[in-house]
Amino acid sequence: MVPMRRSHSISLNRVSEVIHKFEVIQLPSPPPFLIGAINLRGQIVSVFDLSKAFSGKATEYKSLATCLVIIHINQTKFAIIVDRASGVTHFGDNQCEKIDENLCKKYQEVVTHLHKHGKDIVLKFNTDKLLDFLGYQNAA
Amino acid sequence: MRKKTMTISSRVIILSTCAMSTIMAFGGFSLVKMKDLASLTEKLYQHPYKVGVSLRDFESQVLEMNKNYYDLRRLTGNHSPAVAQQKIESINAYHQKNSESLKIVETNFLGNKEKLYEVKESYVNWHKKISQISQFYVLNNIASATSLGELENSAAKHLDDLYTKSMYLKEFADTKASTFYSNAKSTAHYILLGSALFLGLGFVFLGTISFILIRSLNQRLRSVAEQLAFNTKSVADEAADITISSSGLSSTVSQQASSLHETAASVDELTAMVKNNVRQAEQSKNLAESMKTISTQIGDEMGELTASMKEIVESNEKIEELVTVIDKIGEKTRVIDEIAFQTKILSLNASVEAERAGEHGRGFSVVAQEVSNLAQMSGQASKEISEIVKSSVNVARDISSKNEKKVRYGESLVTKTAKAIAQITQNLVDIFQSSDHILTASRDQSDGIMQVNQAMSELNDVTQQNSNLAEQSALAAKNLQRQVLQLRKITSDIASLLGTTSSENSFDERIQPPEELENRFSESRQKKVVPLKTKPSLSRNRVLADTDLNIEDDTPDEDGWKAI
Repeated sequence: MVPMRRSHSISLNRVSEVIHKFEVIQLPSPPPFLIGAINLRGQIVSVFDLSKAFSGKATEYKSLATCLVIIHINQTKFAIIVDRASGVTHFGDNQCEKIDENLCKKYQEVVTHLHKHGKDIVLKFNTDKLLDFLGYQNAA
Repeated sequence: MRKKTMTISSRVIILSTCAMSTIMAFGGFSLVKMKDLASLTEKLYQHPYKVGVSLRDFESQVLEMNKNYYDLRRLTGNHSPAVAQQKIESINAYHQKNSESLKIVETNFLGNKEKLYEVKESYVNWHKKISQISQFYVLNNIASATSLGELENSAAKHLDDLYTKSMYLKEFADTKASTFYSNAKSTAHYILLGSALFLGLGFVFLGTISFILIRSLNQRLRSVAEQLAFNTKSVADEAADITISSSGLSSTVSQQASSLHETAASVDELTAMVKNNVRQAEQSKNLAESMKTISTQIGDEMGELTASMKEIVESNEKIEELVTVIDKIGEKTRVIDEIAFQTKILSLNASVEAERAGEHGRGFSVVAQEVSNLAQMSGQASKEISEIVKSSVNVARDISSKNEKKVRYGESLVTKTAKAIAQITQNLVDIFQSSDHILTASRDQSDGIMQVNQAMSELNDVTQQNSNLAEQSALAAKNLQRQVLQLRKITSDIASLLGTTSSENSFDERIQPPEELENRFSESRQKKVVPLKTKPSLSRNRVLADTDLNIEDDTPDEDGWKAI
C-alpha cells in the first residue's frame, strides 16, 4: 500500500498570499525546521518546513510547484513551504471532525481537526497554535 | 696374440736338414776316415806290400836262380850245351826280374836305403859269382878246383849275406806292413765305431727330432681335426639354420608376393581415387572460380547496402533534428505550464483577496475560481502536451536509438560481411589456388602412382627372383648338408688316423638328411609365387647358380694353416 500524499488546509483569513518564485537565504545555526528567510518586497519573512518539524523529512522546494504560503498572525508574518498549493476550498461544518486525542500529541497541538474532501482527507492547521509550535518568538 | 707355428714344409725341411746334416756329418767323418784308410791302404800297398811282394819275388827268383845254378852245376860234365844255355838264360831271366823287383823295392822302400844297397850289392856280387861259375860250367872249363871253389864259396857267402840282409828288408817291410795294417785296422775300427756312433746318435737325434716334430704335428693335426669336427658341427648348425632360414624366406617371399598382390590392388584403387581426386579438384576449381565471381557481385551489392545504411544514418540524424524540434516544443509547453501555474497562483491570490474583501469580493472570487480552473485546464493540457511531446521525443529517440543501433549493427554486419566476403574471396582465391595445386599434385600423384605401379611390377619381379633364390638357397643348403656329411666322414677318418674319437653321435643329431630337407622344401615350392604382369629376368639367378658353392677363403685359420 502506497501512503497518500498528506494534504493540509489553513484558514484563508490567515493567509496573506502564495508565491512560487522565491530565493531562500539560509541562516546560520537555525532550528531544524527553519529553512531560512526571504525578502518579500522589502520585508524579511522566515520560512518554515512543517514536514521537517513533523516527520523529520525536509520538503523539496526546487520543483516548479513548490510554493510558499505567507501567513500572518496578528502582526507577524512567516511562510511555510508546501509541495503544491491546490487551491481555495470551502469546507462545511459537516465536513470537519476533531482528531482523536490519543494521536501524536506533538502533531495534535497544531492539527486539531480534519476535513473530508471527497475521498481525500485534509488536515486542518490550527494557526493560533502554530506560532507556539514553531517557537516563533525565539525564531524571530 | 697369434701363436706362431711351423708349417709342414718347414717341419719336413727341418727334419730333412737334420737327416742330411747327420748323413753329411756321418759321411764327412767316414770320408775323412776312409781317406785315411785309403791312404794307409795305399801306403800299405805301395810300400810294405810291394816291397814285401817284390822282396819275396826277389827271394823266390833268387832261389830259382840258385836252383838253376845248382842244376847247372849238377849237369856239369854230362850235360848238353843247350840245356846249360837254357839254364843260363833262365838265370838271366830271373836276374832281369830281380832287377825289376829291386827297382820296385828301391822305389817303394821306406827304410834305410843303405841296407837296400847292401842287399843289392850282395845280389850283384852273388850274381857275378854265379855268372862266372855258370860260364865255367857252360864252357865246361873248370880251370881249377881251387878257383871254382873260391868262387862257389864267395857266391855262397854273398848269397848268405844276401839272405841275411834281405831278411832285414823283409822284416822291415813286414814291420811297416804290420804298422800300416794296424793303423788301417785302427782306422777301420774308428770308421766302424764312428759309423756306429754316428748312426746311433743320428738315429737318436733324428728319432728325437722326428718325435718332437711329429708329436707337435700330430697335436696340431689332432687340434685341426677337432677344430674341423667342431667347425663341421658349426657348419651343420649353420646349414640347419640356413635350411630354416630358407624355409622362412620362402614362406616370407610367398607372403610378400600375396602382399604385393594386395598392394597392387590397393594401388589400382588408389589410382582410381587419385583420378577421382583430379576430377573433383577440377570441379572444385571451377566452383571456386564461379564462387569468386559471385563473391565479387556480393561485394558490389554490399557496397550498395553500405550506401543505404549511410542514408539510414542520415535519416536518423534528421530524426534527431526532429527530436530537437520536439524538445523545443516541450520547452514551450513548460513555459505554458509555468504560465498556467502562475495564473493559478494569481487566481489563488485573487481568491485570497476576494475572500479578504468579503461579500464584495464574492464575484471576483468566482472569477478567480474560473481563472484558476482555466489555469488548471491549461496546465493540464500543457502537461498532457508535455507528456505527448515527451512521449514523442522518447519514441523518436527510441526509434532513433534503435535505428542507430540497427545501423551500427548493420554497419558492423556490413563490415563483418564485407570482411567475410573479402575473406571468402581470398579463401576462394586460396581454394582456387589450392585446387590448382591439388590438381597439379593429383596429376603428379597419378604419375607417381604410375611409377609406383611400375616399381610394384619390378618388385614383383624381384620377389619372384627371391623365390627362385630361396629355392636355390634350399638346394644349396641341401648340398651343404651332404658336404657336411662328407666332411664329417673325412673328419672321422682324420680322427681315426690320429687315434682320437669324434663326437659323431651328437654330430649326427645335428645333421638332417638331405631327403628330409627335400620334404621340407617341397612345401615351400608348392607355394609358388604368382607373377604379376612382369617379364622374368633370370640373369641374377644364373649368376648365382653359376657361383653357387664356389667358396674360396684365402684367409689363414687360427693355426696358421692356409687352405690349399
